[in-house]
Amino acid sequence: MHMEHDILNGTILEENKEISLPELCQVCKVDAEWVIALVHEGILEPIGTGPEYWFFSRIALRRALIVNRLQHDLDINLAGAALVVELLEERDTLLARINL
Amino acid sequence: MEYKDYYQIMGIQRDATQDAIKRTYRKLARKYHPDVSKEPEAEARFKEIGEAYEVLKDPEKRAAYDRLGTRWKSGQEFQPPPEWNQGFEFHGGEFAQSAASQFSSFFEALFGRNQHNHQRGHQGFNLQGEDSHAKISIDLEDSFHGGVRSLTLQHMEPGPDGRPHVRERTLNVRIPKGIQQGQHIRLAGQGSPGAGHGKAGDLYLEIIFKSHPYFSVEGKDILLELPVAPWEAALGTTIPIPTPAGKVDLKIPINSRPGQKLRLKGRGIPASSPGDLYVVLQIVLPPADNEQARALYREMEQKLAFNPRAGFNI
Repeated sequence: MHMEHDILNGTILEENKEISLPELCQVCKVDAEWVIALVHEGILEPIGTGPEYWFFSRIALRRALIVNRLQHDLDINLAGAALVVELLEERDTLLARINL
Repeated sequence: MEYKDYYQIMGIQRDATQDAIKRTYRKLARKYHPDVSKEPEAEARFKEIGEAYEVLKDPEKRAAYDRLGTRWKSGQEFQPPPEWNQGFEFHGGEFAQSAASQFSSFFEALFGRNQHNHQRGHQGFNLQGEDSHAKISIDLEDSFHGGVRSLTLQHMEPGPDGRPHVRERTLNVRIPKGIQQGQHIRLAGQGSPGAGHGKAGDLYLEIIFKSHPYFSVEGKDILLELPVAPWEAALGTTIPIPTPAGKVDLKIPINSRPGQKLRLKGRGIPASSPGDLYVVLQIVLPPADNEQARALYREMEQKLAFNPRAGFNI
């Protein structure tokens, strides 16, 4: 395959600018209401006065993707999935520390 | 194609009840979910379990699968017997979106592909291909220097005989300098191919840092636990320490304490406002394993008025 030796240049999604609501919806394949529910749950904390002005930080995309997968794969509701994401982040931080 | 023993994959008896299958699936799904699990090969196990459950949870598919009989062994070369599924009617041919594209060729030979996808193809729509997601593990140093990492992905595609085959492809991906754990790289057009004249989807790569023998990472900051001798901490000194960008000299202040954090500003992950490197001092006692060392400890005992438990008031 001629493709296999080419070097691919990607774009970092979260670099410099933050992610807008439509971008977040597009990558996660979700509708805006789902994202708004996550914001109400306190798991995503956008900057901006209303959904059309919202911008999400670097961590938001990863959180949204994980919540989405947990909801589908393990049948967890939004609040439960949000709790799991927070506990996972806490666990990863602690694991990184003891891994020293 | 290889035969898959769905009962063995889920670790259940062939006569397990539907309830028992569901319970077992729930347990295994929590154990091996790739976002949650620290088990090795969690992702592959999770897919395998999902596929087994897709068949066994559905009494129609399960009955059809059971009809293949018990003479097959896992991994054995397999061709479905002709007309094997005659007399079975499958309902709900659409599988869970996330899972359906990842089923094995064994599954697809028995139960077909997601009907939804089939229709798309037949009706000649020009639909954009699906986006795909994968993780790429890089060394912490890659984030400092940038570099190219290769990544092997597996996907299904129809072979010349019309049957789905697993195909591997290797991508060489440029790792941008300053990338952080949890960030995503978007590779336009590297997702699933589109239908008709539709564009291919995008591939999203989540960055994972491989664990490092002595650095750990928190966001843009890096932590290094630095072992020092008691006299280095007590008297102060300058010692060479490793950083992901190379060796630097670090000044240890006089009377440093264990657990003390020294910040090297801007020596973390590079960015327009780079992270910091934190050095945490860890004081290591020399072992008293010979007479000379014991004599030195005895001398300290006699000459230093030191009570490490002064705070206990006993």
